[in-house]
Amino acid sequence: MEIAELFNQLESNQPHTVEEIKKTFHENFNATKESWLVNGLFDYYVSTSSMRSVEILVGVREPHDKHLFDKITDTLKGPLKLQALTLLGHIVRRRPTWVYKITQHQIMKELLKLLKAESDILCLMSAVLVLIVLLPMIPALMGPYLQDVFEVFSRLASWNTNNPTKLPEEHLLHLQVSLYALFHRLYGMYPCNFISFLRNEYGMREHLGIFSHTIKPMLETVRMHPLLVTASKDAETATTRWKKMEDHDVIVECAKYAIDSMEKSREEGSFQSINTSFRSRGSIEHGVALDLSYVHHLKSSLPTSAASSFLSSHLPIDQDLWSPSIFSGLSTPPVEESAPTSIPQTPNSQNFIVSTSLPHQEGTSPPEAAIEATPETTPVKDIRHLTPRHPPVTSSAVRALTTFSSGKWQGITSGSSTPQSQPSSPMKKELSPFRFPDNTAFEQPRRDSVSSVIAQKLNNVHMDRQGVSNEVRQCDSVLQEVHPPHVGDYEECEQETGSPCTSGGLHMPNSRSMLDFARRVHHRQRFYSQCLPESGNEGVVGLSTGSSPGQGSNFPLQDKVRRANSCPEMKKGPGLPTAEVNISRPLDETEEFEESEGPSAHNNQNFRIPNGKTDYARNCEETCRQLLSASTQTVDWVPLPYEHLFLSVFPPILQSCDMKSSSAPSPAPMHHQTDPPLPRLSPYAMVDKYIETVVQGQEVKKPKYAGTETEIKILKEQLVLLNIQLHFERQRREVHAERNRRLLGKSRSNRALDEHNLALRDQLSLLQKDIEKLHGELDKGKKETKLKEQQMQESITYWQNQCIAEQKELLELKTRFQLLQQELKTEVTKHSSLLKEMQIAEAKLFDLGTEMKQAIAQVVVGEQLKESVEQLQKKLLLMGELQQRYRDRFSQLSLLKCPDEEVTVLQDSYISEVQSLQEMLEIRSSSLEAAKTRIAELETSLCRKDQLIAEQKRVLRSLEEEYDDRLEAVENKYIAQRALNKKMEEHMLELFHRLDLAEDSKRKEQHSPDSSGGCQEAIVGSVDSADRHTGPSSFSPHNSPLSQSLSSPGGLSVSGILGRDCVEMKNLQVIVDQPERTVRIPTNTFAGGQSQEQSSTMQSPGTEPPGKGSGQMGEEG
Amino acid sequence: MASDDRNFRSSYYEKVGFRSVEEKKSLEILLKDKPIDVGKIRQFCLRFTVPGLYRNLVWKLLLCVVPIHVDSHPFVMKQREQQYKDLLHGLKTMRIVNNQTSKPQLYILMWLLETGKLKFDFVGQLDSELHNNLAAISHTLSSIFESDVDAYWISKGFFECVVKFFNDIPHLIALTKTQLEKEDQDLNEHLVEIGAISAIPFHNWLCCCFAGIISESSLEKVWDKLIGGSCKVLIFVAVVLLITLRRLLLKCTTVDSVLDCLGNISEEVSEVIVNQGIEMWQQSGTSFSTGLTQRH
Repeated sequence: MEIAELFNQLESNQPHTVEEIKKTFHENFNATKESWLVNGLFDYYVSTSSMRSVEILVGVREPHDKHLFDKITDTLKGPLKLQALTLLGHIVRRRPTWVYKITQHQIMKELLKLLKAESDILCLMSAVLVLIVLLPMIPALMGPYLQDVFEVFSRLASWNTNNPTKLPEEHLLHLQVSLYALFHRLYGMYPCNFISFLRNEYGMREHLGIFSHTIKPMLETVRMHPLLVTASKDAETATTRWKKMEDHDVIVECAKYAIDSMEKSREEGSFQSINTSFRSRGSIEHGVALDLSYVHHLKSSLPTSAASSFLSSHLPIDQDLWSPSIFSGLSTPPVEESAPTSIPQTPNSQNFIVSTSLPHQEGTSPPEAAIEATPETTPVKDIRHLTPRHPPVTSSAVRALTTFSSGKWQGITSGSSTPQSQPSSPMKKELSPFRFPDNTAFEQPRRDSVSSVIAQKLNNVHMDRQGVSNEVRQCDSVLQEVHPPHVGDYEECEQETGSPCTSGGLHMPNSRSMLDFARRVHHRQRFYSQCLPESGNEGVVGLSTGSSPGQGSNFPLQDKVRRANSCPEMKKGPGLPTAEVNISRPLDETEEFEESEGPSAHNNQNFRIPNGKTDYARNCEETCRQLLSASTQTVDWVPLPYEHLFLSVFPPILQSCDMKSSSAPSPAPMHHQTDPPLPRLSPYAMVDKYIETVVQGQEVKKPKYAGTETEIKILKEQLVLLNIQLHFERQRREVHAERNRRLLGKSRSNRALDEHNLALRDQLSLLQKDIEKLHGELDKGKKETKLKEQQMQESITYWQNQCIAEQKELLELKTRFQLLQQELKTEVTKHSSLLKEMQIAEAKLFDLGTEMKQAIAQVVVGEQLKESVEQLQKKLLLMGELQQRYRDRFSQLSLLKCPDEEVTVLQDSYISEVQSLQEMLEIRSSSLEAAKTRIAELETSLCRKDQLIAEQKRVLRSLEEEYDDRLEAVENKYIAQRALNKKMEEHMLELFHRLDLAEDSKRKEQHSPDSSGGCQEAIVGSVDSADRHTGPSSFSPHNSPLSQSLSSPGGLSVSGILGRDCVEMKNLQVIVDQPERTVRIPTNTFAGGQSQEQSSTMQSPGTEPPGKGSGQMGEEG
Repeated sequence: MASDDRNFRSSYYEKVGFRSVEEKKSLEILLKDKPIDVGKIRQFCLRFTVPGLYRNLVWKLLLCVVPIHVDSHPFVMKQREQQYKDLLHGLKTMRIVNNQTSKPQLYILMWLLETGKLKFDFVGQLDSELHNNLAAISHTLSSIFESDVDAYWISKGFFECVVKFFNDIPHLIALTKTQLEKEDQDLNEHLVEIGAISAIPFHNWLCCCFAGIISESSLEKVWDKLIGGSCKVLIFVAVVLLITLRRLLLKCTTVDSVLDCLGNISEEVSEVIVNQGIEMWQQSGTSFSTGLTQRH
């Protein structure tokens, strides 16, 4: 696609094509790392200021950011720096991920350099706003640049002094606003560094003017920063401090220290935001009439004091209805159509009643429900329940003071709960005296009714003089450290510059010329008279005080009136006849009431949040968001969007200034002219008013100045400035929105926890019920057990009696039993003695029996013995006879006796025989052993011999082999020799043959001399050939001697002689060329007449029969 | 056994690839045996490159020029010398040769004479292809060995060897071709494509055992194997020769350029060819190594 076309399509009014083009651009960015694309887009932006190109540029990724910064840095040095700054502003506001790299880049230094040197208001404003936006984004990285930033601040502060060329008043206003914002950032983020810088910078006398006119008023708008006490210069720039804070945290933190209602954080619970929402809503819808009627109605329906107090709190609402849209003459279309219609019909008194009961409802209803219910569906209700909240107005100054010395204050204020006692409240008395000197010294500070802490601190000298209360002194001790050098100077300065000061730097907005102010007031008056005739008075009153000189003296009076009014209203709130009084209400009211007794309640409208009413605050946030969304909606279609933005961005200021103006006129018209204090207007309020006047001025002055170029130029510049500021404020709005979302998320989780708690509580009660039931059961069980016990007791006694009776019986029986036993024993002994007697008798009887048996047995034995004696006698007789006979025989034996010698001889001979035999045996055995050893010896020798033989054999074999080898070699040699011989024989034969041929030819030559010449030639040729044979050339087959001889011309003559053989001779040449085998045939035929032997030797190399061969061998060998 | 005397590290040397570190020593040990074990020496030849110092002796042993008994070596050599002289004398007497006759031709003539194959037309006989190839072998050998007698006898051994596998040559050529196809298909296809495969003188190569084609110093290694009894090594040498010249051959598009290319083989290239060829042969042929291990 063409580049030009791309850019054209980028500006197309088709959103999806634009998206596509953006996508292509981003793809290109992803694809390349070069800087040309960024540069191209940048140039395109510079030439066209296309917002879509900005969107693309803001969306670039990592490597391109550096190119972009490079490019911007380059451009900052050139004439197009405004565009570059605007782009930078866009980038910084979008907050891409790589924005933190800005501090590492040259661009930061360039930016600061520009801020220090630039005099063009547009560039300066852009740069300052970029810086302000950047500060909370990269708080930790700003450390090294802080000194530069401070210097920039200092330069801006001393703008008027340093820049003699006067800027238009309108431009100065922008500058002031930005300075103010910068101041708040610096003070909120780096208090130690900043204060020390200020001390160094403005300690000098020549800067005193700037300090007193510019810095001091700004210092008065902030509270004392706790870090001044707890932190050091290094600690506050350290990363640890900023690690857990996001940019919106930082912004809110900064806002916390602001006393100015605008800068003040909404989380602090300022009810202004609610008011604002109400006001804007009312203004967008047809709230003017409603509110007016509402006020009227209140006046009539309520007791006068209550009504007046209500008015005092409510009248501002009338003035809040101011909107640029009114000035510009545009009718704002209703945003929510359903909401407003019912309001006029509702009786106002009822509204009020309902509203009083609302806090209770809100206190109990979950925040989500409130959020859902209030803004969209019941806008009217929103208004209604907000109104009663007005009374508990208290100043932030009080809060500031109470934070310093809350204990004391509580003690003081709690005592004065009645409206009558209020005037005697000590604080008020204290306050008024030290205000007076201010009033005399300055117009602005005197008018500045915001008694900020720092202002008090700065005024500590006065306080000391006048013997102010202790708590202020405590503050002094802190403060003396902070501003020791120029306390005196300051005082002097105060005295010196009694009249409006012109020597200072860039004055605070409220030090601007009264003329301008009066003019604006004039316009405003005019406007009010046109649009809101009823409220015109108030407008006049509120604003005209600015020019009234003696208002300072009215301060205490005004104070008193205000208090007198507000308190009865508080008291009577719950006591309204139709009110559904809730119990918590009085408590809240007294609290609020106490707070509202603060000394400077007359000018600051910050609401004190009752303790534990955070849901209120949340409600506020929600409405704020509503408001914001409403404002963004308006931006889109209002032709001069910045005005609306200002309206939406600065609502609290409008509110505050309106409130200020309204606070005075409340009780009686008498006071209107005299006592309204001219409130110290915050810069935002000034801008607001400024817009107002500009719009008016445009209407009025158009005919006058139309055509003057300078005016147009200024207006254009202004337009640009406003645009810049618009962007800045939008960014801030987005940051706040982010924070709001986060807080909403937290509230949700809180809600969930609450419900969880409720559930747990329910569970607890259930468990308790269970316990009670169990207790009941326990009692019942106890009773039953008691009854049972009694029964058991009775039975026990019965059984005991029975037991005793039984025991007695048992005893009787026992005694009887013993008696019986004794009887038994005696019986037993008797029985045993009888038994013994019987046994003795028996034994005797048995003895007698045995004796009788023995006697019988002895009788039998005696008889047997008698018989055996008889037999033995017989045997004895027989033996006697036998003995007799042996005796006889023995006497005969003694005659047959032989000699002993024979036996001994025999024995000796036997012994000698044995000995001889043993000797023989020994001899034999020894000879045997000898033989054995001999055998072994022989065997070994045999073995050795065998081995020897084997070895010999082996040697023999090897020798044999060796000689075989040799023999083989010799045989080989012999075979070769034989082959050689054969060859030589062949050779010989051939030679013989040739010789024969030669002889033949010779013979033939002799026979036929005619042909001798040819023959001779042949012989010569053959000899020649034989000679040539030895040379190397003879290897050619054609030169072989045979063939030569055959092919010689002599051959022809031979053939001629041989006649018949001639043909064969011719062919011989061919035949010789044939292989060996075929040679034989022609040779045979050729040598037909030659011997057979020759032919056989001719063929011998190939075909010789072996037998003959061997025979020849034998011959040769 | 002989292996006991060898350095015990030798087996490790072989394992890590240092061949021929201990070859010389082991060969010496083998040669010290009485009688010399020809089988072992043959295995040694197949396995290792014979050290140049012993090449003469080893080849003579394996070609049966000298017997296995060292004691009879002088005698046998004397006989061989006499035989050589007789033959030479005979040839000279027959005026077949004279002093100008080149050694290779002389050797062939002597061999033919000795074997009784010499013809009257010996000039034609010498011109045959076989005898030309044999002449190339003996030419190489005569440059390897100083002594004429040795050269003749070893040539004779080679002649017999060649004659022995002469009939198998067509078979070997076929094997060569299949091996080439297996090893390098691209080259084979290329050669077939340009028709060079049939023109490559495989027959000559195998017949003359690469004498005159590969430089002598490298050829000795191949011939060690050949004498060891493996004529297959020639196949691998032929294949590797072609593969080594692969680039050049692939560049050639005509038969003539191929032949030209094959005709010029430098010494370095031939060294590479021989080493790779032997390696390939050893890788493919496992039979001899198993036989060797069994013997050990």
